[in-house]
Amino acid sequence: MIARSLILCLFITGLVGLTTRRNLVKKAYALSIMNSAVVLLFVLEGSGIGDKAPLLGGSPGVFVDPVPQALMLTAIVVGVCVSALALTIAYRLHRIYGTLDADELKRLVGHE
Amino acid sequence: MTGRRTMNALGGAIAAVLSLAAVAPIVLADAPWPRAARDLLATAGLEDTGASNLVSAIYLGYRAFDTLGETIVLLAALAGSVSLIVAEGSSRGAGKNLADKAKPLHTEIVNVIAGKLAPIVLLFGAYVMLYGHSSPGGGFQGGVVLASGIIFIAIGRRSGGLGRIDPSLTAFGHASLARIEAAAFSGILLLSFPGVGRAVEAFRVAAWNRGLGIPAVSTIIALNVAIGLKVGAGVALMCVLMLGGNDE
Repeated sequence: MIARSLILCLFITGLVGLTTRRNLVKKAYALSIMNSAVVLLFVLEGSGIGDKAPLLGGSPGVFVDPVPQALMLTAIVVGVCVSALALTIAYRLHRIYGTLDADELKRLVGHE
Repeated sequence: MTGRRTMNALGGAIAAVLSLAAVAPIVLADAPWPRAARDLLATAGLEDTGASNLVSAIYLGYRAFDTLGETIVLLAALAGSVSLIVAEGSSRGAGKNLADKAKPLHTEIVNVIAGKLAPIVLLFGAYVMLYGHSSPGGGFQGGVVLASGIIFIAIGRRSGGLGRIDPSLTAFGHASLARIEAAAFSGILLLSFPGVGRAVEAFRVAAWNRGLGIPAVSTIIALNVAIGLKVGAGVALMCVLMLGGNDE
């Protein structure tokens, strides 16, 4: 239960960061934190039925469910894609408008 | 400004409480996890795909077509990022070129350490990529390690001269990285096409009958290598462009 509560805290941390921070780079990091929380939750769920890495031919014992791990591999890759694209858009906005503040950007873009 | 800050904090608190109420039952629910998939894979996974790393067996053996979709997502994100980075645009305001600000980071220590570390990191990346079928690792992980090796080479060059030589001629310039990525992606496209698996299997059986043993896992190794090269070249390309290699 402690692990689950900590994952919940991590997720809420990311969500609060996403909603309250005005710096676009911090928003991108907050998204990444939320993604990590979801990945951790799935890996934790899959590890409920075993405790060995899903490699055949290793030491004897029951291993964890490999299906959530394979799914989370996809989630990590997509998360990296989202982070890369978000950070690139922030970089581009900074090059054009000279600021990373979301409110100021809204004001500047609105006046174009 | 303080009013806006209080509003922000209040909005954050409300969002936190609401999402806590929505997400907490999902995260904290302690339902038993089904064992059927694990048990099936434990008995049939190695026989079906030849890979003893069951995670690789799933995403490259059973679900290779899904992995193709995953690499297309990666390709789309990279293409969008790269085109946004290199696109010419008016630079107004304080946002000058980020590469100028990054120059002071190029100390002698960074140059020497990054240059010496690069071959080791590249070797480790190749190992993770090639042994993904039998040990923890695989194409995506090995590709990212390869990309960090290439970035070490890029920042380890003397006097911060990223792409001082013509970028189309150096092995780790962005022109050749883009070419490697395109070639690796066509490799993935070919390998994960549904008919190819069957053709490879037929070829394998024919070779077996002539006394040439090709292990069943060779398709997974080839896919791992192609994905590793694609991810490594793509991520390294994006980072090299972000470091400012396109300005010279």
